[in-house]
Amino acid sequence: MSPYSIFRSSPEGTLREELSGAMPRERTSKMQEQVTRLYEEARQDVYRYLLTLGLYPPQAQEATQEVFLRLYSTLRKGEMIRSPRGWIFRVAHNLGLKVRARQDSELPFDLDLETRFQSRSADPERHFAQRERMLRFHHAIEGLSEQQRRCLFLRLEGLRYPEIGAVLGISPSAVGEFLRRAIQRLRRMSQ
Amino acid sequence: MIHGGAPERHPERDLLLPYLDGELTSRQSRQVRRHVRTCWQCRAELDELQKTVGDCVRYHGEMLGEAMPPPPRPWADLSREFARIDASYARRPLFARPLARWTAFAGMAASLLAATLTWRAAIFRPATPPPEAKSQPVKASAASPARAIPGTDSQVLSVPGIAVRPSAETAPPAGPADELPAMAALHQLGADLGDPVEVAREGSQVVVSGAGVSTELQRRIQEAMLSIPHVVVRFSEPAAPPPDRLPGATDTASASPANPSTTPSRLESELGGRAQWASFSSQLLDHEEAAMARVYAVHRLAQQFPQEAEGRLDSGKQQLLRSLAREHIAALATEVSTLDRLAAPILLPIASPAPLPPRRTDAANWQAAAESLFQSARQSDTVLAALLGASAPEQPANNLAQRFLTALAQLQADMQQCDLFLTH
Repeated sequence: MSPYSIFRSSPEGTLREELSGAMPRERTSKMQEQVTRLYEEARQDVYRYLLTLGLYPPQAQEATQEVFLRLYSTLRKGEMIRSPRGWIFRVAHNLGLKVRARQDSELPFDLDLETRFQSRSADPERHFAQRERMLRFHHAIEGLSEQQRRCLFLRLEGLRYPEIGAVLGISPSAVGEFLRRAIQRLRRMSQ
Repeated sequence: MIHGGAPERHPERDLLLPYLDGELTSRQSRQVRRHVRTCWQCRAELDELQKTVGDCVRYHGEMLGEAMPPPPRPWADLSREFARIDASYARRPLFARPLARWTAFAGMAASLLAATLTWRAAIFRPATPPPEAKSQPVKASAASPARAIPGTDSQVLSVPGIAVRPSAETAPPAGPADELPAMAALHQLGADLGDPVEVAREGSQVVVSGAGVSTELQRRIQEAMLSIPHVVVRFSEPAAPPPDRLPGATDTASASPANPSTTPSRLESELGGRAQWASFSSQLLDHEEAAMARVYAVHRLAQQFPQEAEGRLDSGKQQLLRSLAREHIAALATEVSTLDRLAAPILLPIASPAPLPPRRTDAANWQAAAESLFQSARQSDTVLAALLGASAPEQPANNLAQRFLTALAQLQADMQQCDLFLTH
């Protein structure tokens, strides 16, 4: 059984709960356990994604926690979620945009990755080369269009094309096209 | 490119990344794989793509992963929030469905919080009741203003221009005849169909009580009761049941998920898919609930006005009582007919053996017929829940279609019998 079996709860289960107006305690416990597991596995990824959207760290962290509470609440209503990770990023994306809109008066959070980035290599020459290469790639990423960058980041979070399309409100084929162009451009710019 | 001595077209460049990402159909994927195996150019292109994907993954891990600012605080433990969400759901579904409302109400009535609003109509009722209040169904009236007593949680109703007497303690006990106008008023408001409103006698008073009733309905009920003597209205908010004592929890905790071979799954495939199944189930449940609300209403009238009590009513009130019951039966007939129309074409082909004809019930009066009607309605409700996979069947799950159609036929027969008694 999939570790996320609770997300694929049968419609019969949902009906049963709806009819009685209650959800068995063992089911809520299992649901809590699974959402907690997913929270522990994916919260850092969601937080990172929200930072790339321009949220400040405290808001990104708060929004991340909110996403998982919404997930629990949605499951608690008896709704079926086929792809929990896709669902999480879709909600995180929408919530992140709302938070960003509220903080419109402020500049988006500057990740300042160039300053923060440290190569893993202990060898100074190698460290320098690695750092240069990574920064060049970073600039190439910054040169992508917003949609290309979103598609790329979401793909890097493990989402499939239809899931990315659902997050961004575009078709899976449009996702494929954005990704193809992004990869082509990164290749050219990082060479 | 040359392949086996014959030129072969390169796959479209657009397909290479989706191919790597596993986003192509199996046929497309096979074609690309076969081509790449023999085409250096496309294989090199794929290698380049892989390399850039590798760069992206490194960037994601090292730059976005390690260079990102960490969360400013430790991650919160969500379990407390889960409990809060659970508590909100524990309160919410209590009145989610009419059937659940009625079944939940009996237990909840005992746990009413201290009355938040009490209308003491009986305390200051007219010395001589207005003649129309004796035998006519009560109409909602907003003409008589209510006056709040400062410093108390009660409101005192006074009827301008009419002498009042404190009669609650000296008046004779309220009887069924006093309840009927209150019930008729609730009926006019449609508040006797699943809303958690109860009518009961307490000494010389008729108490109309409710918990979790909407503010608007409370207001309308209060207005409607203004002109009815002996009536006290009490509303309160329901106390949330503890999470492990949710209404219905014990009924459903042991219910096992539907077996793929059972009727729900079979029906789903018969209907052509999950969406059709959901629509079918939803319609049946809606009409079943509407039907059950009517059955409960008739049953309640029968219980509150047994044959002897009805015999003590004057003829006007007897007529009123029967007209209330018949209205419910007429509405019930519509719901049952719709249920039959929806269910029969789908269930008859899979009902084996054929549904049984209704058995004859020997009721002596409409109250007894209402009891039979109540039992057959509960039977159809139970079987429908099992049929739709909404509860574990009490009996083996086979023949659910046949049992539901049989129960529906019995319900129709009992309904007709009850109506016959009410008419004559």
